Amino acid sequence: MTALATELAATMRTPLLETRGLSKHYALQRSTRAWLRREPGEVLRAVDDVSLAVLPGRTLGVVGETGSGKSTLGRLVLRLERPSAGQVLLDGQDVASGGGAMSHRLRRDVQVVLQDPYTSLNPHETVGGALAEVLKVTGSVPAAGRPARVAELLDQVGFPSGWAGRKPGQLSGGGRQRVSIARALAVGPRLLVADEPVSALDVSVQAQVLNLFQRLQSELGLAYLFITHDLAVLERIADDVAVLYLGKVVEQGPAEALFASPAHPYTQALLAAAPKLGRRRSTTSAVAGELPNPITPPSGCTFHPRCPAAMAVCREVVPLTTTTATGQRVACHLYPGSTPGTEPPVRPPSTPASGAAAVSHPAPSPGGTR
Amino acid sequence: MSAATPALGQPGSRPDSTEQVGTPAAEEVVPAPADRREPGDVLLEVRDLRVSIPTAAGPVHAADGVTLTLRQGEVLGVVGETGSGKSVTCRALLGLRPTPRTEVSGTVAYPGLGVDDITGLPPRRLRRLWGRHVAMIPQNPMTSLDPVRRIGDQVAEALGDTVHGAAARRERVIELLRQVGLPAPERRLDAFPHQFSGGMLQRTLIAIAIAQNPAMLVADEPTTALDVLIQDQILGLLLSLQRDLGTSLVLVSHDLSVVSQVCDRVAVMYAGQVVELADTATLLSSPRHPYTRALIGALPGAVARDEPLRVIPGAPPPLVGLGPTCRFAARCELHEAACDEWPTELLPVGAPAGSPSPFRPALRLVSHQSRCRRAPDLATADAAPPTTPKDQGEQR
Repeated sequence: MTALATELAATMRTPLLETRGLSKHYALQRSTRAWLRREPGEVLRAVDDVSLAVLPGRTLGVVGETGSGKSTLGRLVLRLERPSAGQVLLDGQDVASGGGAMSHRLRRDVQVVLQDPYTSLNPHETVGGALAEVLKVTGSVPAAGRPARVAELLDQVGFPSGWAGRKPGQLSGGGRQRVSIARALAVGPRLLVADEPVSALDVSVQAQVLNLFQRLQSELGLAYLFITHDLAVLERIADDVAVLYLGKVVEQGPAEALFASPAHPYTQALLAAAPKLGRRRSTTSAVAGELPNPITPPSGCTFHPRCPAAMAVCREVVPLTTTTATGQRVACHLYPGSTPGTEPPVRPPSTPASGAAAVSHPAPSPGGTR
Repeated sequence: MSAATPALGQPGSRPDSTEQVGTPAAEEVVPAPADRREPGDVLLEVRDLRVSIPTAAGPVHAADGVTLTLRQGEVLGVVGETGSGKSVTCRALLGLRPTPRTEVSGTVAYPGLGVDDITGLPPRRLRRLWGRHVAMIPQNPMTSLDPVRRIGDQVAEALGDTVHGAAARRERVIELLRQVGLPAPERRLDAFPHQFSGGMLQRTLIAIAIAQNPAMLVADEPTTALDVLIQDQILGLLLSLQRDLGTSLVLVSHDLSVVSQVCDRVAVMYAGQVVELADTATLLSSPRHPYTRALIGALPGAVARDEPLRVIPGAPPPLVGLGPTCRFAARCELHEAACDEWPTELLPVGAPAGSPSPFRPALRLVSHQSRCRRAPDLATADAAPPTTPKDQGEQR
């Protein structure tokens, strides 16, 4: 039944959730002197013109380093932050325009699982109490039916139902993460935003939680926006992947194609640097240098100072997004069609990027204000 | 692959892991520094190390009978999950204890340095060892430097009395920071730690650790707090330093992938004990302890996407009042009734000792050791993967 529903949804290919040119710019505090001189303040472009789509029942993985804006993206989708520009669309409707009814719908359809199971549960509240509270607040289940629903939710995440009276302090990290997932499921969402949900867990527990995510997806037809820094986890769980670097999507596409033939040099570096079991490493590393200051990002392609394939044009011109032969959308001058003013790709791309919405191109503007 | 496993109930004599000493071959290990560093000589010998921390619930045996050797120029990985005792064990190698009332027994000897046993030594004596002969790279670079002192001063302090004169010390500090790949070190001496990124701080801490060119470095999860590209750089740096200086390295990590990339030999810890010890290639290709096999099988890339990941059911036991029998028994898929009768001991299983390490021929392999009673059965089961737990293994 659910498999059928998933299939139906996939054939419709209407994104459950879509972001269009989504940006979040934080204005940084100016010094008094700068204020007196009317100097423009510095701007941190945490998320910059990100266009992504999550299809029903599918997993979009977002990968990036610290400071890439991946968590801000999750917060924007959940509307915990207001975007500076762009839209978040739920079933094709702008969540900002719908008023109270829309935000109510967003809360019901989109839920979150946070990274740290040690700080995201109230230590004084029992597991059952925490879940019952969600049911009470949302008014979805009458008081008499709550204990049964709580037991059902706990059963769904493989949590011993006899432990509903326990408090988070009596649980292991994996147990707490299960409770977090059950709490997110309590309102019957269609999309879970999972921000590094397995990063704080040991390998064997991580495997349990990843299995749980996959089982819930097949049973309930859930879609995931899965945010992580761990490529091995994404390779396991994601259908589509978006790679973020300094707030911008540098590459996105079907997970299989992206892992088999990464197009962007940054994605290639990430894959080369990810530790693989038994692959003896040398003393050289994938890329040199560190993440630049996001307040004053490099000109042109922001990855150019660290890029092994950097050319002169990379310093000058912001690359546009183009489609590769293997179906990824990539913003890199190595690919025809990404340099503005040059010939578009001779051959139209053979496969359209799965699940990726058309990306509006940023005007080649100087990156960041000094 | 003959496994010398003794009869049930009577473990054989403790394997003498110090027996073979690799031929000190002329290898790329560059000029021997102050102390005689021949690759292959035994540098560190740990015997039956026990660390017990008194708590209200009784003594917690964080390390319980750890026996290890480390040779000059070797990279030893210590892998385990949270609470396996890996950090406590590795700190004990430097004479560090989690609390002052912690009891430490067994011996930690440095034959390569002419030091018999450091377990009972007072801090005054230990300080002669620290920095000069053994040094540590801590886990969290963000909290390991003094936030109100300048980077240059903190590195200079680590020089001890090896360099005299302000100008010479400054030169040496710059040289060290350059050696660890800090860009433009001469301009960074006056910086404070908060002005550095995590990767730069970790490089600084490595500079501090190698300031007196110690014979052994203990790195406790040195890359856990770092991004993957920076982790890659730091691991590359540690390896190149280890090769250039001939330093021995103990790398503690929860990440088997990281360890398997860098280490010559790996010790897998579970519930305070080393359960398996083998050279890296052997450990990955033919693990002889169910826990090791389960750890490898639980990695996200271990099975095809449509198959559930193999998980280890249950949780590790609390480290209080554990007996001599197998601590993994409750979670083990090969568990038999006889396992509950058999006091475990780290015993040799196959893998001919003395053959050259595939990675560095100057090092000879120590025998493959496992604590599992059924290790010989695992040898035959290598081809067949372990069975998937019945319920997708989703116990808490």
